[in-house]
Amino acid sequence: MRDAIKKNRTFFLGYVICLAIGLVIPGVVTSTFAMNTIVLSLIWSIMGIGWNFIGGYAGQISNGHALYYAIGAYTVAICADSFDLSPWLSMWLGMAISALIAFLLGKPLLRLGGAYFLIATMAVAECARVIFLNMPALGGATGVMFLDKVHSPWYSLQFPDKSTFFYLLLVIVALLVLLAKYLDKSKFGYYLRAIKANEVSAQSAGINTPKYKMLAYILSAMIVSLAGSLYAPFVTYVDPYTLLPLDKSTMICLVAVMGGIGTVAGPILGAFVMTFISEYARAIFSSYSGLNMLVYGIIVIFIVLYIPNGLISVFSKAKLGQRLKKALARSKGGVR
Amino acid sequence: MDSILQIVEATKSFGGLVANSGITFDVPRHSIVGIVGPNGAGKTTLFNSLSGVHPLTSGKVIFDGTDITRAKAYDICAMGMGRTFQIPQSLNEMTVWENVLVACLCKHKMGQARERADQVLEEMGLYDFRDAPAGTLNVVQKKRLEIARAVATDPKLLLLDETMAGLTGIERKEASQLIRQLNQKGITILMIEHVMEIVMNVSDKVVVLNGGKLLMEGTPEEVSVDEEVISAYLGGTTW
Repeated sequence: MRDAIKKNRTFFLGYVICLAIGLVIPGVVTSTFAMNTIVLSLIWSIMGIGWNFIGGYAGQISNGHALYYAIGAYTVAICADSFDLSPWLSMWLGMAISALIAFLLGKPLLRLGGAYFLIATMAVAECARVIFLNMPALGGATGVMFLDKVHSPWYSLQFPDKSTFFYLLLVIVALLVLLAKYLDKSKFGYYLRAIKANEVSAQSAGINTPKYKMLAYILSAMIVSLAGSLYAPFVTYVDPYTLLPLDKSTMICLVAVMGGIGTVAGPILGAFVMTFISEYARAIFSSYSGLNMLVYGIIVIFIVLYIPNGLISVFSKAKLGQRLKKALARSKGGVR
Repeated sequence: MDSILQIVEATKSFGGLVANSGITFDVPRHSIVGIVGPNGAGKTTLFNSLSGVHPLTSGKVIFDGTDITRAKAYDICAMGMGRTFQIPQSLNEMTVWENVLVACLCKHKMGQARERADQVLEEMGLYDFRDAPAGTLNVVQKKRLEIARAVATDPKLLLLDETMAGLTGIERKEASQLIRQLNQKGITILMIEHVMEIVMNVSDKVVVLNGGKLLMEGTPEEVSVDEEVISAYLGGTTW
């Protein structure tokens, strides 16, 4: 353990600083809107971390992960509504269902590569939306309301104040980051990167590529499902329109890509930046309908154009080193 | 003689094109066997069939006593057959060390694999490029990395696909020394090579393919004086 900390000093330093900032946020941030945005950012962070395993590390760009988000959210909603079950239990059930469905869908889907995988995953999520819309047992188009006034907030995860829920999410994100960090430099992480780099070559190096792609897909589905299970009690309401719109899956992919694909911290950075841009654009440009999306789109285009390796690359050691060297060279030139 | 690899009536066709037809030969354990033949003779296709990139249409491949005709590439690798690709297939976004590490993980746990990766880089003379992204290497270095990755899987049999092509005289000498060294460590080597002087110098046995068929097999001396072989190389019809 001590060894691991020593080797990754920068990471753990950043980790502790972020946690420290997190601890004081509820005390400093007074606006409900800002707090709401921060909570949403944490939920998006979980999704980004999850998607990153299949999309970022293994390089199989899924555009259908909203499906698992919806499964997680619906499982919690229905369990609470019909069986009085706490999300503490039903989130595990949601993850199990997601894992099973990811396994069944992954069998045919993961045989596809590149754009074909992307389109097929998108089609699956769209099918799911139609199913959720038309299944009376799942609430149909009206969805499921499950505002809980009977149980304690720690049972229903429906907190009257946002800060308690924020702390809960902070702990979960912090744990997931540790998981991602561990897997990043594990056999699993290296294998996924090898698959992304060159599948034929990976196979000839002894990597059972179908197996590892499947494991990555299931893991990512489970984590995204967890995000859904946490989002549901936050809004106490699930319906197909908010959980499964066409752009939801793209957004999940976007937070990881914007932040830094295949990196540990990237998806979290991406989640915060994207959520803040999206929420504040909506609030600021509320008088002109659609303008927020235009602004959002333009910002996304600029990030992709000028920071193609993701926002996290701005902080990477190599880049910082380069800039330092450039600055030094400039100052030396000045002296001469 | 004990053979590590037996190829029996290997035939591979892609639609109407028959790339390999009825090829049969053995690779004796601990030997160096060279495969030669003009362009399009079906050498790389045969390698792909042996290493599980694509299965044979008909025929059999027996590796170390096990039928691997229909086995997957990763299983074949785990059984102890390593290969290189004619066009280096390095994992370009990963560092040289990570490239080798991934291959080491085939047989070792993480901790051991890290050490083994460094050791392989040292042996292959790639240690100076340890932390460079593989994509930044030049062709000669990439070919070395290709061999390093194959060696890192601790193979019993190593398939080398034109590792000499594009190398200068001195580099070739180094490379053929390397092949001898690997062989002395007990690794059987089956290599495709266009550079005749290397094949004739290094190999214990030479197999000549032409037009997808086995033209002949024998010692380098036997092969080099065979008239059919000479005509295949110096021109004449291939079918």
